[in-house]
Amino acid sequence: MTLLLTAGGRLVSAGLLAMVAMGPAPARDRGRSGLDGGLTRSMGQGLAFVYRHRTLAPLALSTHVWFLANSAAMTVFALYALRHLGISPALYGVVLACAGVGGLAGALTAPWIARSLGEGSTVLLGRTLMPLAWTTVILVPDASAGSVLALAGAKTLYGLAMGVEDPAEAGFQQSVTPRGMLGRMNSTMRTANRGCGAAGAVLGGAAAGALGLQETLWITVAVFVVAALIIVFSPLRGARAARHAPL
Amino acid sequence: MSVAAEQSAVPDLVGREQLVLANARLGQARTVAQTSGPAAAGSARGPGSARR
Repeated sequence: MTLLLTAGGRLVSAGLLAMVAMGPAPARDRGRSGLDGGLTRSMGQGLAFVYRHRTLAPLALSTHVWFLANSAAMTVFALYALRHLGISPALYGVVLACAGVGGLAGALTAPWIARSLGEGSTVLLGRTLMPLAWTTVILVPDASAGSVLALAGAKTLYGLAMGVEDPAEAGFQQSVTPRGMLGRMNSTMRTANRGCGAAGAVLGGAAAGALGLQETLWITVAVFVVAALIIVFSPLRGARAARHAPL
Repeated sequence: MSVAAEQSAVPDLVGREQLVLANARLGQARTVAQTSGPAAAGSARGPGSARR
């Protein structure tokens, strides 16, 4: 029954998408998109565009490092909360749900923050909150009510950080990328990010086995700091999408 | 695949100064769906089996 509902939901989603008036893709984009040159060439163009770009390159690099740290931390977090701290599976579910609440709050405030700080520094703000959230997680001592509350707070902060930076990052990427390059820019970013995510999960698990859970979480905090520092020392800090002319 | 396409379509639908707002709205929708979906599925399946 639940699966049937899911299938129905997909159908409704497809119907709604079909109703979005996109307008035809301009003919000139076909030539400029270079898709006639083959998939490999397109991928090369996507890579070259992202990693030679003054602000997209540091953003991509920072996000790759972030994904590495985040996957490792989330892999270890389940073991840390359930086994090391010994909180119940039900409370673990509640703690994870707090990230959703924080994420919603973050996404609600993101447009306002991005308007006041600019997109670049908004992403930096999100990346700065991340090590704080995970440091709080590491400092939680046991499964007492106070500890679970602290864990819930840390997860809310975690969600908040992601909710704030994500729309700023996507909006910035979309405004500095020419229309014909959008698909390749997004695909390049996503592929590299998911790859780093997968590697992070494997590395996190291996480190947890070799070094211990808390030690591994401290390492992920350091890696999160690196992700933030990449933006601090790049032209992305203080960058505003409005100042970039779309090519 | 669909997310990469979705993100590439947003600039065609809203103006540049609205991009962060549009992405925030998409993020809000996604967060609500992802947070409530598993809970809804759990309760649809029955409280006894909803444990993770």
